[in-house]
Amino acid sequence: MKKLVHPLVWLVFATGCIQKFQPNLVSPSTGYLVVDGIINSGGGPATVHLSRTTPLTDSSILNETGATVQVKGSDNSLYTLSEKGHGLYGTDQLALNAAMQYRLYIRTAAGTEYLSDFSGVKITPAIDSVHWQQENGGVQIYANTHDPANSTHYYKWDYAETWEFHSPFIKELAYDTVIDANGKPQLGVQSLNDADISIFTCWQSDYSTQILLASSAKLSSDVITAFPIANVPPSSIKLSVLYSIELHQFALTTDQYNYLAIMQKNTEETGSIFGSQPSQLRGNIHCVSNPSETVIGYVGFASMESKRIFINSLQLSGWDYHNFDCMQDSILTRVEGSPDPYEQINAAFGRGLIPTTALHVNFATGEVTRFLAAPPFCVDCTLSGTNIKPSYWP
Amino acid sequence: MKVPFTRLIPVVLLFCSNLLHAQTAALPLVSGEFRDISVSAFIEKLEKELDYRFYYDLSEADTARINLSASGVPLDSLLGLAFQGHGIYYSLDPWGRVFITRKKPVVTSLSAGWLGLAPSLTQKPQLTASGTTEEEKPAVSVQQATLEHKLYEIGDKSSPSTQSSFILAGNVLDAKSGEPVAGASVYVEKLGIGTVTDQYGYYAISVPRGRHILGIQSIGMRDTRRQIAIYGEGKMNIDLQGQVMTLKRVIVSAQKLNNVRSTQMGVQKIDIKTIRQVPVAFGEADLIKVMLTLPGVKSVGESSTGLNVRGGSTDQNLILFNDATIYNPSHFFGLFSAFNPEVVKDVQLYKSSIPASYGGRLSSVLDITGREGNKKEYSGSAGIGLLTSRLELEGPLKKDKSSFILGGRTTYANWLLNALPEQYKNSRASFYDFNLNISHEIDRKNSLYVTGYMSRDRFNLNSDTLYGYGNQNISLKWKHGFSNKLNLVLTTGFDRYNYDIASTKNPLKAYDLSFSVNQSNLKAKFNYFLSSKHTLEFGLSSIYYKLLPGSYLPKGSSSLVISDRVNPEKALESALFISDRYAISPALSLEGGIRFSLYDYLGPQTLNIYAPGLPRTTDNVTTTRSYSPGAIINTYSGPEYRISARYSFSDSFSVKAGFNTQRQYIHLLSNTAAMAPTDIWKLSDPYVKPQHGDQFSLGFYKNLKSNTIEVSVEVYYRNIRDYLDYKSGANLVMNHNIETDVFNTRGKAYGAELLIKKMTGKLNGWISYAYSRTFSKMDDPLAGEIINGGQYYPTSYDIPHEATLVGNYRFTHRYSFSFNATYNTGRPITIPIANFYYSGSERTLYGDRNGYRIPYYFRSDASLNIDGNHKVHQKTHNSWTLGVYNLTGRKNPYSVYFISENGAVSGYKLSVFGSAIPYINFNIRF
Repeated sequence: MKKLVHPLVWLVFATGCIQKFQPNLVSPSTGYLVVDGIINSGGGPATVHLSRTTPLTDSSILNETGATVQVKGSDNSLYTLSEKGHGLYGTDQLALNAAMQYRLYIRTAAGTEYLSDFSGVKITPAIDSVHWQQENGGVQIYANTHDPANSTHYYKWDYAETWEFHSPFIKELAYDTVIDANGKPQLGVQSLNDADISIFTCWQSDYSTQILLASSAKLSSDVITAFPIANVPPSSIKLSVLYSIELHQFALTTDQYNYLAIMQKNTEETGSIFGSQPSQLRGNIHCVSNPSETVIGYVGFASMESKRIFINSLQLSGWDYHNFDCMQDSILTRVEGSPDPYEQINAAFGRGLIPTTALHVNFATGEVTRFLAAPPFCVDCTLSGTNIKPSYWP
Repeated sequence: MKVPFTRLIPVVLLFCSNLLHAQTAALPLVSGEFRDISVSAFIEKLEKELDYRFYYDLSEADTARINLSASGVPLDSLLGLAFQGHGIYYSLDPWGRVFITRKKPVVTSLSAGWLGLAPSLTQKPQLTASGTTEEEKPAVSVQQATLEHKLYEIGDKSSPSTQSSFILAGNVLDAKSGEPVAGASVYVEKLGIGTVTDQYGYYAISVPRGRHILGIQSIGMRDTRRQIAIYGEGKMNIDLQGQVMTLKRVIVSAQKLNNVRSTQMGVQKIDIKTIRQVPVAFGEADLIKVMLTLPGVKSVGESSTGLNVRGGSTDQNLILFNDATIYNPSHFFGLFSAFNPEVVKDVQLYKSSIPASYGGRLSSVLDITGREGNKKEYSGSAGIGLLTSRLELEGPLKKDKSSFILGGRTTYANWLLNALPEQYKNSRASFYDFNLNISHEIDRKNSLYVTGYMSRDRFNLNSDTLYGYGNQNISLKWKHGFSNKLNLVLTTGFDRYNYDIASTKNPLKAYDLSFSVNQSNLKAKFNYFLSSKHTLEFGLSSIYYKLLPGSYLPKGSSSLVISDRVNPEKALESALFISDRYAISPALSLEGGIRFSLYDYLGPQTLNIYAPGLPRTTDNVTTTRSYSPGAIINTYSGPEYRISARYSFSDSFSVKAGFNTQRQYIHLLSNTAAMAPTDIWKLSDPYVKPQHGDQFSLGFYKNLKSNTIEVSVEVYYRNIRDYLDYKSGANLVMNHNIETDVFNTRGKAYGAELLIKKMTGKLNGWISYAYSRTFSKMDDPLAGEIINGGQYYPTSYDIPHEATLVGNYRFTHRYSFSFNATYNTGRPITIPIANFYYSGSERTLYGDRNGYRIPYYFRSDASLNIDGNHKVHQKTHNSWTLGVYNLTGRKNPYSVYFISENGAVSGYKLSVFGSAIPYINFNIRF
């Protein structure tokens, strides 16, 4: 029962249009506190992220540092979430009693205190499965879950995706110093005993950026089927070798769901013709000394359920990933008879090209006389990922 | 006094062989002895004695001798006696002229019969006897007054009535098609009295005893006059000739008198000819788009046909098409209005002086009158445009008695959608509508009218979800004249609006959602012309509502969707009304009305009972209460006042003031900017109070250059109570506890409107300017969240400045050029004030509701209308319309919005028509 989300269709009519627009606004001096994150009550690590709103012209993240963050129970229990850097506050283990109610207490470095309303602990049902299929050339990933107790109804997900990728070219050579006929040291290349595979295979990660919500409240059973989670665009590098996605699922209270749904609506789907008008956000966190102060976020406590799947590029049909930005240059180490015989290799070195493969080797001397070289990002995968293999990687 | 008779012959018609009776009116009595004198001597004698002129030819008349003695003999009898047996004929005309001829009498006026309409003039009109008995002799009781220079006598001069004035009533008809002419002015200029025909062409005017010149003017018709001598009550039908040659010319002569003279304020009437010449997108004549060029009438954007009248919301307008209520007046996402221009006669918009017979909406009444079919011959028209085609057929069912008109429209816009980028390929949109109007005159006192209307829109966007909506209306009207003074219009009908949404993409979640409003209505309205000073209108009306606020059903056998139905709602809205138009003096007149409305919310129903003193949320429901079918759950009632007064300082300048209160029991719930097909209607219930509004207005009206230029300035102030607004993030669809998601607001609106209108001459059109503001306020914490700290905030349709120019220049009878330009302030929106980072993405924090305005709107359009030749007698009449919409190609913002994509917040401006759009339309009449 989605409202018309993208009905721009008809008005585009080859005549309508959508343009970028930035109003001339003097941003108010806001800097309201933002509390992000569902607190995992299931015994695993729990974190919240504290930040401040920034003026519209400023797109940086203004993390809140130096705050004291505690989870307080209706039974007077107290758990401290310690600062982990980047505005994150957390603990490695947090197990809350589902029979109690909890709230979050925040005291900022400036001394302002904030409290959330008391809220129960939701038990999140397990993720039944995560499945995927190739659609329109890309890969669409879906989640399925159900609550046999028929009592959850509202769900939120986030995910972390990780993929293995390879550099387009392998580094089999290295620059070296050679002595020329005049006894002067000159630049040359030398074959490595083993190709440098430490910069050939890497892993990269990304995290969900959308608010992923679903409700089964209108269904006769508490079942979510084929909820679209993530989409890998056609021919993406993510699926060039092996791809993995870890999905986290949380149960929500009705109010928490409504709050997040408004935020989702406000920031992801307003503006279309029949799209709803943006509305004000009113979360469950309040400034103790000034209750009218805007605080963004809705604190909830729920156990987190996770599921990881892998997708191998071999499972896909017609997935041809190519890095068209990567070209290799063919370079002569020495141009005989030239006034400046080392000109080519010096220029390649100066441009930062990394030698990859030998094209011609003088068998007598073992000297590489012609080789290929490529820009660093085409050879060194650590420039865009990490070469430390994740523990869960097969 | 000798005039060669032969020179007279060409100017008179000579085919009537009977001896004409001269008018008995005011004929002088003659006494005297006429002994053996020649005809010429006899005539000279009479000319000396009487104030009469005689026209004769001696060669024909002077051979006979007259022998006669008379004592108090009327002139015509005397002449009859004198010329008996001499083969001499005479005739008298009302201007004291006597024609003496030899072989044939002179006919002094055009025979009514020569247009094939009425009994011959040689019969003395037999009129109703004066007095209050309303006996009429049906066959000949109504005079068909077709001639300007004939004196029509009404009543019996010799009757002993002592009354000083009498009611003259009748119908004003189009001489060509026999259709009634509504809104025609019928007036006696010298006395400053006048009236306007109603939608059936009926007029009733109280005229003092004696001779008068009755003026008749109407849009698109030739102005005409009738000479009357009134001695008793009577009926007189008047035929008007159309302006055949000037197909595109519009004469709003009815209004040039009305505007200054009527007591009503804030009333605008536009006929279909004017509507046709205003350029609109895709060239389809669109009456609602034309209404938007009037001051005080706005919409939130160009794809919306929802009207905001004087700071009112889109649901506060009662849209009537031949008395049937149209809930959704738009087609095709609002690009077209729901009314086929071929079957529309005219549109009348009441912005402030809403007659007491209308009610149930706060802001305005848009009364659309359909055409009646041609009562004389079959005809039709068709039009072909880029996106739509239309066809209309009409003709007599029984000549001069009954007629039909049938209209249909359809669209073929899919080719356009197919031209869109790949992801919209599967989109489809279509609509159609049908109209049928039948009118039947049972007898002189009874007429019947049947109107049927049906529309349907269907569209899907990106193949997933199918949307559809439609209106269905039928109304039956009986008009009965008890007497000249009293008539009744009884209307009954059934109106329905429904929409449905279906999706089948995911078989487990496939659903079918539907919504409908149904209403049955009955209205009896009496018009009573009490005297020349008082005209009463009174009656009662009743509407029975049945709303199906939503059903959500599984579609297909594998669907897991639970069937869900929101309880149907029923209610009865009734009203009694009476109003009196009181002409105190020619300069001062008053119109006062009261409408007492009574609303019952009816069972069966189950209501939530909320804990007192706590916000109305589902958590605070203490219990539920059930009501049996037909039980009255609660009642709202109250009077509504309609008062206006006019004082004329001169013939061309008047000042009017008015006060008006309104109640509205049905509400549109919408949290979208435009009027969307998925908006739902809600009846008032114990939690949702009726909306209440009042309006004070003051206006100045001045006509310039012999009434060819009308200038009016109106100012108003409105209070609105209990207007329904929604809570942030409210879900309005399939909501079983909708009262928890809405709240009542207070509103206020004020403004000034200027209109300069010239509707005659080669160059015609109007210029309008309006300053208007409208605000809401929500400060009750129990009802829900407080908006903007409980201060007044501008509504989303608060548009302070608006100026429009509509112009038409007629080069020749065949070519005319139309141009319009419109400017308005951008509408308010709620805008982001800050960024924040949440759930993996940068997001936007919105500021105060409606705290910012989108950029201003400006558009200009031009069109060229080319008519085929204007020969009246040809098989088809063709015309072409070529035009360009949005000439300057300005990318007018429809909305500005902000979305987070790929982790950053971007602002976008959306324009509906981002370039100039040329169009062409071909029309044919047959």
